[in-house]
Amino acid sequence: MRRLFLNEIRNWSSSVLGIATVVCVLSFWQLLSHWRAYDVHLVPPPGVTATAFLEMVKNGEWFIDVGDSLARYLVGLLIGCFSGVMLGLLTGRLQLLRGCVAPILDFCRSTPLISLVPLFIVLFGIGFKEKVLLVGWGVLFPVWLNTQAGVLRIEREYIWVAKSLGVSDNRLYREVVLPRALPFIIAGVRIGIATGFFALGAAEIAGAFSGVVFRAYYSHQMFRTDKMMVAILTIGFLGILCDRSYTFAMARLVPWWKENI
Amino acid sequence: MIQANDSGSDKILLKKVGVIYSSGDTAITALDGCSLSVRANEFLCLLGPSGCGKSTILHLIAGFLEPTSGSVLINGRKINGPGADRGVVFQQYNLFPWKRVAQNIEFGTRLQILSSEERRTIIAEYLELMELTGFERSYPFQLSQGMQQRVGLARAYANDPEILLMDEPFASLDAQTGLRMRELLLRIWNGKQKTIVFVTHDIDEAIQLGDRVVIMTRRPGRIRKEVLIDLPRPRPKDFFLDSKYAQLRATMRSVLLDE
Repeated sequence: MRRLFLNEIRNWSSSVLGIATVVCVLSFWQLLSHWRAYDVHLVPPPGVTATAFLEMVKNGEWFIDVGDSLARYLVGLLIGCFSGVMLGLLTGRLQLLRGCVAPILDFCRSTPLISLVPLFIVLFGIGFKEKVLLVGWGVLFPVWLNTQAGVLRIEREYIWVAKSLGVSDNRLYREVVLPRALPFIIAGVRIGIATGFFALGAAEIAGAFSGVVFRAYYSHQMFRTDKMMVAILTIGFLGILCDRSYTFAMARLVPWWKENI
Repeated sequence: MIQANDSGSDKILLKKVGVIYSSGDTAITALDGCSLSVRANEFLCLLGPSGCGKSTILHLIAGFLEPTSGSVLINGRKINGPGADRGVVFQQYNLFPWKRVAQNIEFGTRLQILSSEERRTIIAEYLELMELTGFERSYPFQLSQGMQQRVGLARAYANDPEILLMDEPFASLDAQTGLRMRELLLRIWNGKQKTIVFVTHDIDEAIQLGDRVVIMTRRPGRIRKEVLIDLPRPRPKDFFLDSKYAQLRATMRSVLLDE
């Protein structure tokens, strides 16, 4: 009980410390610009950035960018996770298939995503579909590889125990192999959540007319570095938000996940 | 010394079994020309230093492992993989961390074919026997190691196998709980007529539990001596005051130390 309480305080104080650090960095940055320590037109201070943010909120630009980016990101994330888990379960189970696709898999996941943008535009045209598929592509591989590893790494003791209880192959797969792979899949999706943002970035610097990353590039070309800063901070914030809500949800949905097996 | 023979009365029979584990260029002989027979309803203890192949014998009988040479028979027939007739209790990786206590216990097929009401009765019965009542909805990680081990025992007992294969199942329990669990095991063995092969490195445990103790040599594992424990059953709590006990203990100690 006492330990639980101490843990609570430790968690709470570490998040307070984290926020305090952010405030310190922002204040220091504001001070630097106040002292004219660098060219404030190139990198605007927090105050100017905040003003730009309010302007973008007022004219609705910010909401359109965030909405468009999130729609591309979330649909792509779903597609990538679903196909990654399915393919991982297949290649984890079928050794022959695993051998067949291994070189293609390695080739695809080591090709920088940004170099694939022209190919996706040629294949799917400029638009929502192409961007969603790019995000899905970025998410697919970490999810696939982790799922496959999870299926392959199952301890033989679990299989032995299940078979000694007379469990059929079907139940063994559903109730032992799959749940044992789940912590790996959860970790894979978490990596996918991050790589999905990289992919969104690649998708929005070519052939996009809205979106948070588009806004950063476009504002830069228009010499609106204040709006560029807003866009950069927004994408970072969205990334943290997605990661934190995911781990929060998983800790509640799969309570045994973090307790190592 | 009891000779292994082909007669049908043997529940478990190992005939000149050899097991060689090979990985890459190295090959380790875990068992070498090992013959052993276990009668139906016998309580057999395998005693020996670690790495002597006790667990290998257990894995052979369970069907997790095929012998490199010789054969392993159950009821006179060759083993074809693991099955619900042979329950196992390991020291580790016993429980499925993703299943709650009750779900772990009811996982066995022999419980799955029962009606949910019968199943609930059996689970409640074993939860009580194992002093786990109130924890049926807990996950294994929320329990102490000793409690986890008791859930593993409950699951093996609840599936009611004819043969129980146990690999140092009480080693992680505190002394008191270990005592109670040994008594409970004997009660279950008595009431339900099971054949038990019990691996241990503890002489006292072997004498308290076994009808017969098989002592093994260090690698490559061979059977060194078989000792019949002709102490009366049920063995009284102060069985260790019996002079016969002291004699048995001395014999086994000298065999083990002779290594």
